[in-house]
Amino acid sequence: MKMNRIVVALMAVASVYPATSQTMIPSGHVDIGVLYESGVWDLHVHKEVPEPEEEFGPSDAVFVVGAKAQQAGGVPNSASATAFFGPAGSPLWILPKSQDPELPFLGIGAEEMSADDWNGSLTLTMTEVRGPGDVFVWDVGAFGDLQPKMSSRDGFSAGDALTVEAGGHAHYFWAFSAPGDYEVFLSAQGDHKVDGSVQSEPAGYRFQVVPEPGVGTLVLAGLVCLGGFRRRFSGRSVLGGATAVGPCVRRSL
Amino acid sequence: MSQAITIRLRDGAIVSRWGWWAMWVLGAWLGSVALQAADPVILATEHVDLRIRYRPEATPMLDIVATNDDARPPVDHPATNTVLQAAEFARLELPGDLPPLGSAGDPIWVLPASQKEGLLYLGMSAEGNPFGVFDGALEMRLLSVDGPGHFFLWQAELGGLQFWMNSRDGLGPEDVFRQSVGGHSHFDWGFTTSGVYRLTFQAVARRLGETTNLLSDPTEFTFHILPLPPVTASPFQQWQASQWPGELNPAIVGEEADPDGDRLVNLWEYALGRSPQTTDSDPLPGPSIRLEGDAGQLRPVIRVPRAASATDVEYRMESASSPTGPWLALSLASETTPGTGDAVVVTFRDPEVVGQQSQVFYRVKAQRTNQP
Repeated sequence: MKMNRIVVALMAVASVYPATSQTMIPSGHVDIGVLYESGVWDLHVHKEVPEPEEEFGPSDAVFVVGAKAQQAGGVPNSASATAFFGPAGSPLWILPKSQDPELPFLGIGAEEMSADDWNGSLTLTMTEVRGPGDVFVWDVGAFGDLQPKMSSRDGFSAGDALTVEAGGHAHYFWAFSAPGDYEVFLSAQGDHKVDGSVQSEPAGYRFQVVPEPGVGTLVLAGLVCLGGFRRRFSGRSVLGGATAVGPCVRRSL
Repeated sequence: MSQAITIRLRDGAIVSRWGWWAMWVLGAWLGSVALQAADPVILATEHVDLRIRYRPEATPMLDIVATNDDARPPVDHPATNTVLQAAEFARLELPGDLPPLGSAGDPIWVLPASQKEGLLYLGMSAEGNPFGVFDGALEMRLLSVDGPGHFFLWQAELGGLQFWMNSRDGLGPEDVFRQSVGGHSHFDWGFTTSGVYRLTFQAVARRLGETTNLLSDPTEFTFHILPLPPVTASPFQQWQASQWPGELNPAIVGEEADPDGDRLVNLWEYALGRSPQTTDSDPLPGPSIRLEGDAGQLRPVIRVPRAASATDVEYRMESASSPTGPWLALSLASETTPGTGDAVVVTFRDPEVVGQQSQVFYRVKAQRTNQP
């Protein structure tokens, strides 16, 4: 009975994502793909590395922001950082702009479009965030100057946008203020030479921020593993389909 | 590069003067003609990566190329034929003291880590290489920096600047970037002044199960950080420009070209003060050879005219027992004295006494120097 209650508690904190065909992307080069073709917008996920290359709908892939992403010391104690992220020392999980083999190397890819089809640049705007914390997107200049791009912390406006060059590719820093599951809604807009001003419906991109497990969680996970093995040996599987913290938990892909 | 005019001397006498005209054909520089190098590819606004390639069928198995990722399909350019260029507006000024970049207000030319219109978007890559072959990441090591200033490679992060390469504090094993297989990265590339830089990199990797590293050849990439310093034209280049304004075709203006077909190539036309555009019908001014000295101690003295303005041409003497060689360079000092009109006379004295050999051929080679 006690073991069953522990299992139920773990499943309660498990991923809100249903056990569908979502692909977990914990590392490698992956882009938020932006494409406008034949009058139709196609915002998607483009996984480049590891091969083979694959494309997914925005909700069919989950970017896993692992424990490696947690910023030591949290938000730096500088005027520009606290103005953007919040109080110094507040926790942050960061997907860096440069490649880390243990994290997704997330970019914005618009290579499938041609600049010849557009008047000027496109914009990618953050319109909504669902999740336990805030989402930030920024760049850093050559001399370390913080260049904010998007933030859910201060609400949403036209200023929460990235510039996207048709035919181009860019990387930025992404950060999350709390562990858990997020859905970040992005909308693309541009001035097409034939179709005029065109804007996409917001597309929800999924992120899962995985915290470093604390000692208590490790002990609990260990106990759950023991319970799961005992049940499995008796012919019944308690854990399945859900994604949760713990090395012995099965994930469905 | 040189041309030659040959004089034949036998038993102490000049056998034939006409021969020297014919001989110049034989004595013409037989070395390989310096092929006009293909114009280098200048990459100035593209997305380019310095890419480490693993090709087990090649020797060495690693090399580094400049991959133009904007091309469809991407194109690999060898370092030997590539110029990576930073536009003049890449010049920035440091907003504050930022060691090791410099002090507040110091200029620095930066190719940024974020793509900026009009600037080269330069990264490093290990894409296109197989997984499961290497033990860890592939290394890009900076071996040397040849240029007018310092070079830095860094990435700016929330916590500050992470430097991967820094020539200001000397180069060593710490000047390296490790790129995971299949990945690529972008950086800020900084140069403390404009000009031509030559950065030499070497790729290093270790295959699984092996104890020794694979190394690429040291690979030199040329960077043009604009504006480049003005190049002072040599006297010969000024002569070329005056003879053929705006003409760049080497078949017309090159040292070995003979556009007027009088069998006197442009370098000799220049050296002798002749016109390269009209067939020279009047006799050419020399060279001449005389035997000078006491009886029984006669030695050849060769005098070769030269236009006084052709100060970037020097003559070298060679000798052989046969017109077909082998030709041996003579270490003869020369003396330059005023000649007639706008000419000077370059005199060589062979210390060998005539009569000790049945015949000897001399050859005068003209070649350009770097001295104006």
